[in-house]
Parts: sequence; C-alpha cells; structure tokens
Amino acid sequence: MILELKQIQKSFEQPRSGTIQVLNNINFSVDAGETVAITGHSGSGKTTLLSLIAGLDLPDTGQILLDGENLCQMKENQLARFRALKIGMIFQQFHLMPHLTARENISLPLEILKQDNIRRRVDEMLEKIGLTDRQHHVPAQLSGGENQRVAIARALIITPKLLLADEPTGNLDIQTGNKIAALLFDLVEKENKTLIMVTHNLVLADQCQQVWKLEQGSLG
Amino acid sequence: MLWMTLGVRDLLKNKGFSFFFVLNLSLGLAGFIAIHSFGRSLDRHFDTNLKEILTADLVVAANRAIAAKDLERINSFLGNDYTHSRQVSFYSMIRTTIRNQAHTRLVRVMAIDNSYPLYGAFEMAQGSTPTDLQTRPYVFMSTDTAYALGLEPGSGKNSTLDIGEQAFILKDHVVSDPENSLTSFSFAPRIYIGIDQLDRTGLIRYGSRIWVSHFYRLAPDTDADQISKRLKDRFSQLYKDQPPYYIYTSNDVNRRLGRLTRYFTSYMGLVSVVTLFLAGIATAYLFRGYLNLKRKEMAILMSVGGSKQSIWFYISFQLILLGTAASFLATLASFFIIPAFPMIFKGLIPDNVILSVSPSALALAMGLGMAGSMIFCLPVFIQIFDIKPLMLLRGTPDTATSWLKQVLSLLPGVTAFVMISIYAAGKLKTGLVFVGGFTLAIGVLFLIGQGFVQACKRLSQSRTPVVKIAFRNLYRNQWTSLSIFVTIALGTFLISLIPQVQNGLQTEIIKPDGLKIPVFFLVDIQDEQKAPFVAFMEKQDAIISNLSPMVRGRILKRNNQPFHQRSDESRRRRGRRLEFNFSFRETLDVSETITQGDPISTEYWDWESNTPFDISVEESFAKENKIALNDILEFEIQGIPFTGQVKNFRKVRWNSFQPNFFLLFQNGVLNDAPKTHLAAISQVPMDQRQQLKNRIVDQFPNISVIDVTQMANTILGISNKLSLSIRFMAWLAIAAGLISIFSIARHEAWKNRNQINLLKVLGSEYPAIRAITLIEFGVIGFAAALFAILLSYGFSFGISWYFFDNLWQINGIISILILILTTLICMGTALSASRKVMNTKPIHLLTSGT
Ligand SMILES: Nc1ncnc2c1ncn2[C@@H]1O[C@H](COP(=O)(O)OP(=O)(O)O)[C@@H](O)[C@H]1O
Ligand SMILES: [Mg+2]
Repeated sequence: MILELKQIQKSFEQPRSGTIQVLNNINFSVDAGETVAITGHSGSGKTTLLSLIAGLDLPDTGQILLDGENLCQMKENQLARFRALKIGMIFQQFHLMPHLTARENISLPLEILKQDNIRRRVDEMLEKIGLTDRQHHVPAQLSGGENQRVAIARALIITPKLLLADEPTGNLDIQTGNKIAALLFDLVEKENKTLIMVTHNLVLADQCQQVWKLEQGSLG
Repeated sequence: MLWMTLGVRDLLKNKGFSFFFVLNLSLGLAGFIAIHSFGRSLDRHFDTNLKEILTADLVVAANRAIAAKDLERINSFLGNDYTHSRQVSFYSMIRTTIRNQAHTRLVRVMAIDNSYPLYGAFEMAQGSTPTDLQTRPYVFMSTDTAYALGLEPGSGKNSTLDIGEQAFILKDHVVSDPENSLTSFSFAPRIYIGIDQLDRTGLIRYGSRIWVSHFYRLAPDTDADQISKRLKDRFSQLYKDQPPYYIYTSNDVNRRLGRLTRYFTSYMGLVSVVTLFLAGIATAYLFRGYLNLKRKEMAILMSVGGSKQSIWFYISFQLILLGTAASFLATLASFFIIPAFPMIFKGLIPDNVILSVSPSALALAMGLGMAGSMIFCLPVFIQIFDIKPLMLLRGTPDTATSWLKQVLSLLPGVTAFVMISIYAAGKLKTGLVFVGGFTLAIGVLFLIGQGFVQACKRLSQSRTPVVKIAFRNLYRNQWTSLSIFVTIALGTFLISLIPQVQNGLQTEIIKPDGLKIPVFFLVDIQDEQKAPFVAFMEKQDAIISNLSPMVRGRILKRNNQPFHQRSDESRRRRGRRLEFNFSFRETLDVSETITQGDPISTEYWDWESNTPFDISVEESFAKENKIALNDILEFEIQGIPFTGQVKNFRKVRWNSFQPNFFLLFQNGVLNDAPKTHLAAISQVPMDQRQQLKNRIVDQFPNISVIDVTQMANTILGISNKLSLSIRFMAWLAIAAGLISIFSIARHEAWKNRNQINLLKVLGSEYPAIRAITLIEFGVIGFAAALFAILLSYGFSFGISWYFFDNLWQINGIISILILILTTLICMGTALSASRKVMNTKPIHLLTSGT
C-alpha cells in the first residue's frame, strides 16, 4: 500500500454561505502501481482532495499516509522535500516556466534537488515523450499538447512513486487529449507508477483500474 | 548557482522591468550621491587648506586695537618660536577720477604688514610683495576690481585712487590672494594697502568699524587649540568674563566652515531625499508588478522542490543585482552631475575645490543601492512568503498578508528614511522637522487622495460607458490610485512651491509693499558730522528716510546673572558676540512692529533717577538669549554702567534694509554716550545716484555708502543659484514620479488586459479603450496637480508669512502651466505604457493560459 487516507474531513469558510463541508469522512487506499480516476461534477471537491493528497493543503481531521509517513505531521520544509521526491504533479494548465526551454523545464526538478546524471536522464526522458527535436523551444513556441508532454516529463523525471494529475487533458482538444492520455498511461505502466487522476472524461476514467466518484463529500 | 543563473536569466527576459527598476533607483540615488560627494569635496578642501584659509595657527582679533599689555600677555603664552603678523581691515569708500569722471565705491580695505600671510602666499601679476606696500601709498587689488573701477596699474592719473585723505596708486594686480581659498563672494571687493600707510588715510577714529587681527604662526607640533584655550581662560579671568578679544584656531575655522558647507549641502540633500523617496515608491511599484508576474513561477518552483529559502534567495539575489546595477549607473550619473555644482555655486564656494566622487560616496551608493532596493521592496517582498504551490491547482487566490506583517515590513523603510533625512540635513532637529513636514505633506495628500477616490466612486455612476469604466477603475483600484495620486502630487508640489517661494523672495527684495527700500545705506557718520550731514542732504535731490544713532557697548548681566555664562561652552566655541549696538528712535520704523509688551516710554530718562530705563528687544535676539519681558539688563558703555528693563519685544524685517537694532533704549539714555550714526537715503533718481554718492564721499570721506540695490541684486543672485539647484533636484523627483506612473500604468494595463480584450471582443472601438486610459490617468494627474498646487499655495503662504512677513504672490501662469503639463504628461505616459497591451489581439484571451 502506497497511499492511505483515513477519515479525512475538509471544510472551507466562505464569506457568504458560511462553512461548507467539501470532504466528509473520506477513507481509501491505493496500492503501488495502481491507476485511479476521480470523477465528479464541478465543485464536488476533486481538486480539494488532490491537493490534500499532494500535501499542498491540510485536512481538518484525519490522516494521510504516503509511503508509510503521515503528511499531516511533517514540518513545512520537510514536507516540501518529501513531496518533491515522492510526488509528481501534472496540471490542467501545464504550469511550465515560461522563460525556460522544454529541456530546462524538464531538468529543473533534478537541479533543484541536486540529483546526478541530469543530462542522461533528461535525454532519455525527451526521447520517451518524443520531443528531442523540440527540446530547445520555450513553452510559447510549443503547442498545448507538446507543453503537456513536457509537464508530464517534468513530473516523471524525479521518478516519483505517486503521480497526481488534475484534469490533464482539460485544456486540450479531444484528439490531442487522447494522445496525451495514451502517453501518460504508457509511461505509468512501463515505469510501474501509481497514478491518481482527476478527470471529467469518462473514456479516460474507464482506462483506470479504479474509478471513484465524489458526491456530497463522499466517495462512491 | 542554479538560483543565481535562474535569477539573471529572469532579469534578462524581463528587460522592461529590469531597465526601469535600475533607471528609477539610480535616478533616486544619483542626486544623493552627487550631493554627498560635493559635501565631502568641500570638507576635504577645507581640511587640507585650513591653515592657508586662516593664514595662521592662531588668531586674536578685536574690533579695536589690542592693548600693548595684552599683546605681551599673549606672547608669553606662545613660547619663543613664533612669527606674528598684524592686519587691520575696514570698509571704506574709495574715489577715483578716470577720464574726468568721478567714481566712488565701497571696498574692504585690508591693511597688511610685511609678514602677511603666515601661511599661503599672494600671487601677483608682476611679482610685487607686501613689502612694496609699506613705504609708499600703493595698493593691490584683483584684476576684476581694477577693471570695475577703471584703474590700471602704473603711475598715471588712471592709477590713482583716494582712500580717506590719502591718494594711493594701484601697484599690481592680485592674481590670487590668501583669502581666495575660502570664497570669492563678498559685498565689497578687497584691496590691500600697507599697514604703515593706514594713518595717512585719516579713517581710523573713534567708532570706526575696524577689525584688528593678530596672526600667529607657531612652532610645528605646538598645540594651538591648547594655547587658545589657555588664552581664553586668562582673558576671561582678567576681564571678569567679558573678554574683549576673539581667539580662534584653524580648528575653530574648520568647525565654522563645516557649518557653512552643511548649510549648502543640507537643503539640497533633503530635496535629494524626496527624490530618493519617490524613486523608492516607484521602485516598489515596479517590483510589485514583477512579483505578480512571478507568483505563478514561484509556485511552480516550489511544487518541484524549491524550498522557501531558495525562492527567497532567488528573488533577493535579483534585487541585489538590480540594486548594484543602479548604484553603478547612479555613480556614473553623478560624475556628470557633480561638475554642475561649481557652476551653480560659483562665487559661493572656493574656486579651486577639487570635486570628485569620494570612495565613501561609492560605498554609500553601493549600500543604498543594495539595501535600498531590498528595503523599498520589502513590503512587496514579504508576499513571497504567502505564495503556496496550492495556487497552481486553485488559480490565484487573494493571499492577504497579515496586517502586522505589512506594518513591520514598512519599518525598515521608515527607519532608513528618517536616518537618511537626518544624515542629509546634517542635524538631528532639521532632519526630524523635515521628516515631520514630509509626513504631514504625505498625510494631507493621502487624505485628499481618499476624497478623490470617493469622488471617483460618485462619478462612476455616469451613463457614458467609457467614463463609467474609467472612474470605476480608479476607485476599484483604490490603493493604486492613491499612490499615483500621492506621488504625482508630491512632485508637482515641489515644482510648484519653488517658484512660489522665490517669487515672494524676489518681490520682497526688489519692491517690498508699503516699504521704501532705501537707495543707499550710510554707516560711520560721526556724531559731529550729523548736523552738517543733515544740512548737506537737504540741498540734495533725496531724502534721509532714517537716521539712527548707534552706540556700542556690552551687556553685563541679566537679572543679576552674568549675561554670558561661563558654562555656556557651546556658545563660547562658536565665538559669541562680545559687543552689541544700541540705538534710540522716537517712532518705530515701518519695518518694525511690537509683538509683545507696551511701547517704551517717550519720556526723557533721567540719568540721576534710580529707575531702570525702558528697552525694546528684537524677538529673535530675545529668544536666543532667553530674555523675558521685564527682565533687568545691565550694560556697560565706555566703562559706565547702565540698568534697563525689557518693556517689549519687536519683530524686525531685516531685509527691509533699514537701519535696525537688536536693542532700542528709552529717550535720553544714549544722549551723552559717544556714538556714530546710520542713515538710509531714499528717493534718489536713477541718474543722480552716482553723483550723489560721489558728493557724499567728497564731503564726508569717512562715511561708507552701501549701494542697497547692488546688494539686493547680489542677494538675489545667490537665491537664484540656490533655487536653481533645488529646481534641479525637483525635476529629478518629477522624473522619478513619471517613471512610477509609467510602471503603474503598465502594471494596470497588464492587470486589466483581460478587461481590455473583453471590451474589444464585445465590440468596443480602439479609441474608446484608449479614452478609458486617457480619462483614468488624465483625471488622476489633473486632480493630483491641482491639489498639489493648492497645497503649495498654502505652504508658500506659510513660508512667506513666517520668513517674509506676509509677502505672498501667486504666479498664476506658472501654476496653470504646471497643471496642464502634469495632466498631459500623465496621459501620455500612461498611454505609451499601455500601448503594448492595448495592441494585443483579443485572441490572447483565448490562448493565454492564465
Ligand atoms: N480556498 C477555498 N476557500 C473557500 N472555498 C473553497 C476553497 N477551495 C475550494 N473551495 C470550495 O470547495 C468546493 C470544492 O472545490 P473544488 O475542489 O475546486 O471542486 P472541483 O475541483 O471538484 O471542481 C467548491 O465549492 C469551492 O468553492
Ligand atoms: Mg477542480
């Protein structure tokens, strides 16, 4: 078991409607190498759940165990490093560094975390995502699909145990989206990663081993 | 290393930001560094030329001859190995007849002996020495003076000038005289004669205003200050705390010169602080825009493992880099600014000062640049700590930095501002007063700005969409509007205030309302000359507008306490006044008003009576010497004691050029005292002036005639020079203000780019969108300038009320010009700043992924 959520509660104060309970007693676990899709209508709390798993936000109550360690009890800097080493994240809006080239964007986590063999690893990764010939282009010069490929590569380069994706194809047309999804699943399978993906796309969700639906704060 | 590389690359990618940041900060720093270097150069000049400036190690001076016994006493303190020189100087009229045309002119006669100067030297055109002056009636004067008088060196008629009763011959031109190392500015040109020729002029009699100096050059390694102190103690003892001599060393001179330098540099320094402050605001604004752009990137960096410390380092490194660049640019710029100072201050500072950018100025520039960019940006900088990678999932939430943190982040800036102000002012009090005034001005502008924003809210109810949007933008972005308002208003305020004050000053000097500024001011009229002089003037085409007796004496005691406390060490060092002038008048002059107490009695004071006579004391003199109403003052005039009581305080407009005195006595007190008279002559037709002057001097050779118009022009010249430098600094301030408008407008346009594009999509014409920007920044510029001008009216009114006695004039044309210009410049700047964003195609709305 790589990830375990126990009795997670999360609510937000909202200026007008008061406190809203977004997540209500969430329990689940994910085994290493599993792929999980989280669906639900807009505003159901998918992103909130993902941000908790990523350790970007804290639950009101409950425990999140990643690789056996409780995220909720870590100090901020410790958590940041732990997260950077264990979790790769892919966003709907890519979030690449605009002034860095594709290659530099991919190598950035390795350099920040002071890892070895940066050159070789980035070369391999570029090969895997098929962008070797475009590695010296900056995001503005690449298409949406290419940018998302760079983002996936950046998430995978640190060889994380867990990959989190929030609507990774949400900003792409169907065709490109499918291609990206295919690449993602391919890489996850080859490298035996665990993937948790938020998506509206039911076709995509069906490709995952587990599909959970968020409704009224609970997983169904 | 990674973070540094990233930092440098980022700055290079954001060229606009880097460029404006550096330009802006360096603009603020340049003035500051230039003034610092200027002050340092002056100090250094005075330091290295101290002895040459004083021409001696020790000077004992008095406004009368020093008693032989006292000279012996002095000698006994000096040891065996010293040289001595004596000098008598006084103001006098000289007469020349060049091509049958008579001329008279006030000069400062310096009667010197052979050994003058003890340090330094004369540089003469034909190599004459002071020895040449002793045996024959020769004079030295500068080429300029000789030219002004029409004199040529030689032996003919064109070389002759009369000083008192003696004809002198111009022997040689002075190329540089010992006093030149200080300042070439003087009301009357200096001419040199031999001290042995002094008696022949017949000018030295009782009451003549002379200044006798004894210069001493001591053996090397002698402690002149120690000797000076012992001499002072000795004479204090001998004369019961009323020593008749001024004793000073080169260190005393240095202190006095230091004050002089500070006077020049402090007010310019303060204006440069304003520039620095405005530049600081603009810099912080630029940085805010930059950081907003960077927020997402920082979140990304954090999400891939960048720690907060690394991010912090990454941004600080950029700031330090920019700050360093700004320091370099500022230093470079100051190299160009500094040579302007000798031009601005020509005549006021020594001609031969070597101006350079001092190492300390460089260090200051570096420190200010690096620390400054950090300090200015700190309030924005702390927002970094609120950035969380969570925003990558959530979009940009409004991270509200806590109230306490924001206040704390302002603290270093405020502290630095106060410290720099005090430093620039050179005095704690001046610095604090400046900070107070500045805070007040900002506060008032801020409040007005608040009102302005509220007014915008009202105006946004307009039906015209363009107007509606423009005003809505203004009040929605309250803080931005406020800070633009305050920045522009502050710059405009300065620009507008300077001509205002100067206007008042000029009006005051040239034609004071209700006052007749005299044409001539006459001093040293002997008592026995009074009647003949009045009779003489009756025959002339002029009137005596004021004729005042003047008696010299000492103030011994105030309420039975010695007037000069011995413990009054600081005053002592500054060289307190030993003697004062007393006068009497039946009615107060128009330039005088009683501010407290009753008019002094018009009754003739009976010498035999035991009641003290009435005294009227000038306000500032009373304040400085802590004199209160009804205080009993004891005087000594020519060895005779008198006792009087303070009846009233009097305010005097000194720049009325009327004979005015600190102390006026009741009728009768001064009648029998030996005295001279001062007179003011008015209503002399322009073409009669020179002749009248000649006639007075012919008839009364010992009377000095001061040409008031000429003097007023000299003062005006100085004030012009000073205000020129302030104006220069004020323009720097405005430039900083404009850069801040530019950056703010750019930032605003960028922030509103979606709104702009949306408007385009919704079918708004480009001109309509441009109109919004124009209205927005035009309105803000206009309002800020309008209120700043009104405020400057208030301030200048206050200044003229305080300093120039209510003389106040509005220069309407300049104000309107400033108003229009500010508005136009604001509009233009905003338009050019937002052009890039405005020209983007609406398609960006669809593609740009933020
Ligand atoms: N920081 C926050 N403050 C207040 N409410 C929030 C915050 N973040 C999310 N919410 C609310 O929580 C609910 C779930 O949001 P989210 O997790 O983004 O939904 P989803 O990703 O499924 O669309 C929404 O109603 C949203 O408004
Ligand atoms: Mg979501």
